[in-house]
Amino acid sequence: MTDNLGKPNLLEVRNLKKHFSVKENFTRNSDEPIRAVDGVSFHIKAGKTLGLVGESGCGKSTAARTILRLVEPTSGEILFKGENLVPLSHKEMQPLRREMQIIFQDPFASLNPRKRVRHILEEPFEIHNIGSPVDRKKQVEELLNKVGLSPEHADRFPHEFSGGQLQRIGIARAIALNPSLVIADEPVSALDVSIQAQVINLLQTLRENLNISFLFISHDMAVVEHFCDRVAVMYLGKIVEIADSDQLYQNPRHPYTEALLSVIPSIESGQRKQHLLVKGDIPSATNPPTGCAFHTRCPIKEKRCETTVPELKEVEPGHFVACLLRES
Amino acid sequence: MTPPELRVKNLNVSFSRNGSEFAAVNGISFDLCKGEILAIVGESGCGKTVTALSILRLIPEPPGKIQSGSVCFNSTDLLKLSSRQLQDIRGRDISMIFQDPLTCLNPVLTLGDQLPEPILRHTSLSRKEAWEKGIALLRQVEIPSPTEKMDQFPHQLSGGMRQRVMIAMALSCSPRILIADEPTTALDVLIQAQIIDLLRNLKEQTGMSVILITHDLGIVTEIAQRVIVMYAGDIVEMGPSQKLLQAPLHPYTIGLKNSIPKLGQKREGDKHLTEIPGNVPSPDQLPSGCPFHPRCPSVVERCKTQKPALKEVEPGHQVSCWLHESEI
Ligand SMILES: Nc1ncnc2c1ncn2[C@@H]1O[C@H](COP(=O)(O)OP(=O)(O)OP(=O)(O)O)[C@@H](O)[C@H]1O
Ligand SMILES: Nc1ncnc2c1ncn2[C@@H]1O[C@H](COP(=O)(O)OP(=O)(O)OP(=O)(O)O)[C@@H](O)[C@H]1O
Ligand SMILES: [Mg+2]
Ligand SMILES: [Mg+2]
Repeated sequence: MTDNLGKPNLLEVRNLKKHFSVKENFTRNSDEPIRAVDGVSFHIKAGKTLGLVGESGCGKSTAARTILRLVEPTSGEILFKGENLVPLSHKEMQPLRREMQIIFQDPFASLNPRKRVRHILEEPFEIHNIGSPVDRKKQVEELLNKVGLSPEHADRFPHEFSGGQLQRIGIARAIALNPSLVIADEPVSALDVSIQAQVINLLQTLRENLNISFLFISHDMAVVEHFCDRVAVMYLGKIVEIADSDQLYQNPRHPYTEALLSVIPSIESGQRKQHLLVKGDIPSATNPPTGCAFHTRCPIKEKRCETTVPELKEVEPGHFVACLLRES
Repeated sequence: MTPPELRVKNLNVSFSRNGSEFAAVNGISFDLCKGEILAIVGESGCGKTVTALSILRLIPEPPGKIQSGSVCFNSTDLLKLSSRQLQDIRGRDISMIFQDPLTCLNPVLTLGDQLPEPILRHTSLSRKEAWEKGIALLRQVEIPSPTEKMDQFPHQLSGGMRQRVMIAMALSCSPRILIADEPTTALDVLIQAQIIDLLRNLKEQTGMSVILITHDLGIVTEIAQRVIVMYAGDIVEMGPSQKLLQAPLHPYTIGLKNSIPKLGQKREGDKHLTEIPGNVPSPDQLPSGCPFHPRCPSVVERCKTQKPALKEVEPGHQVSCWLHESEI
């Protein structure tokens, strides 16, 4: 997947796989691994935002953690500014971690409850040995301003904040060292809608001002359309469709993408876009269906979908789809 | 006009925390009409669940207390019944679906152990008949191979299936009223759509009335006839759902609607989400006057000291806001 505009990729992921083995904990007696991420490829250009959508368990968080090497990939390549991260030791990874940050879904769980906000925000500077204590104090105050809080918040503990405020602190921590890539894993899913809008607007502003690229994970199709330049749709560990956001939302090709878009009722009319009925549940990642993994729920499937695995094919410039029936 | 199925009047519910008492529900009144779906919306902590639980007197006392009010069903006040009399009504005439199905399904019992139980308690059916009825109920909520499922434990089912089992259990004695507290919030969008379709079909088949708690405004317009908007323990707006959400009157409802990103919104050039500034107030620290005034874009002096009452502005549409006081 190269871009004709020739801008270099900030991040490129090639055929990334993460399989978890399920030996002990599980009651089901199967040695088959969970194919959480099963051959995913995409790229993000500098300053651009890629959305990753899909149902619970399709592998979004695992992909995110694997890219940051918080979990080790089973196979594949992760190129950050052209350098493959996979063979790097943790020590070699350290300087790169400055540039790649993550924001988590649950702001309460992701901040240490026993530390004051000042310490939470000074920590990245300490870890990377940046600045004197006086500099750090100033940096923390600037960070708080940037995320719409004020310097007097620095001496409080996490429990003294609302969910939306805590997420702002999580964002401040992520942008502290001027990263070029931020992975945001469901950053607004736990927030009330009025607060969600505040946080999305904040991320948008930071993105424009600081030229940060985002990998933005969400299950909310409307939020993703709003925030992202390009969108990848995942199903059972694989990308089934990827395209520029306008293209994907106006002209979805994969029946799964179509289904995700068609079930959202409009607030004004209560009407769903169309009634593309998808029956049944998402299958287990331990034992995915043969052929196209979506065939068990697909409203338009044909016999060959049960046996032939569809490849991701380019149907229009920059628009890729993995569906035997929609590839031309 | 037919008399309402349920009439809630002046319901006041408080909680005590660290020795001080605060109102979680602040003297609200509403009717549930026969055969209607009435939605309750509002942000986290505004009192939706407390309202629902109070109807069946399921509030934990202490720390909670129903201070005053009445809940009229069948010309009796449920708040005045003995707990034995109330038990007869719960599950038979009025049943409830909770947000988290696991709190209601016993993890160590099979479905076959649990489903017939309310049927045996409230009807004169034999054990065998109750078992058959259990299977029929599973079939009614579209669970595949229902007979086999009777031997399975809750954890062997997917989230969507567990939610269906909860609905089946709630429907087992053909209740006249179903209270559903965020029945789809924890589910993926495709499964959510299936459950919403199911609820609508069941309502049409059985003619029961439904109180649906949700924070998804699209779902409200899609299936509810009327909607109640709550803020900080008060009803701030109430009326026919489609009309109310097309042209909301209360600044809070307007803010809520505008802060949600809609499909296609960005393509139409609307890049910035409208925010509601500030945070949802905690119920033990409510502002004076109108509780929404610190966040309200249309605030006037009067709002800061005097609390507006819920007033009818057009037939069936009520608002509590000083801006609309003059329209009557
Ligand atoms: N540490 C682990 N050990 C074993 N299996 C795991 C582990 N982490 C994730 N999985 C499995 O991998 C699959 C993908 O999980 P993942 O959390 O990446 O999904 P997700 O798309 O982020 O879902 P959600 O929307 O619920 O956050 C799931 O089947 C999950 O159970
Ligand atoms: N058992 C309890 N003890 C103390 N306070 C409670 C209890 N249950 C509810 N409250 C308080 O009552 C208020 C209303 O809570 P309620 O659960 O009704 O909110 P809700 O509108 O259902 O919110 P959500 O959307 O998060 O479910 C909250 O401030 C909550 O903290
Ligand atoms: Mg996840
Ligand atoms: Mg609730």
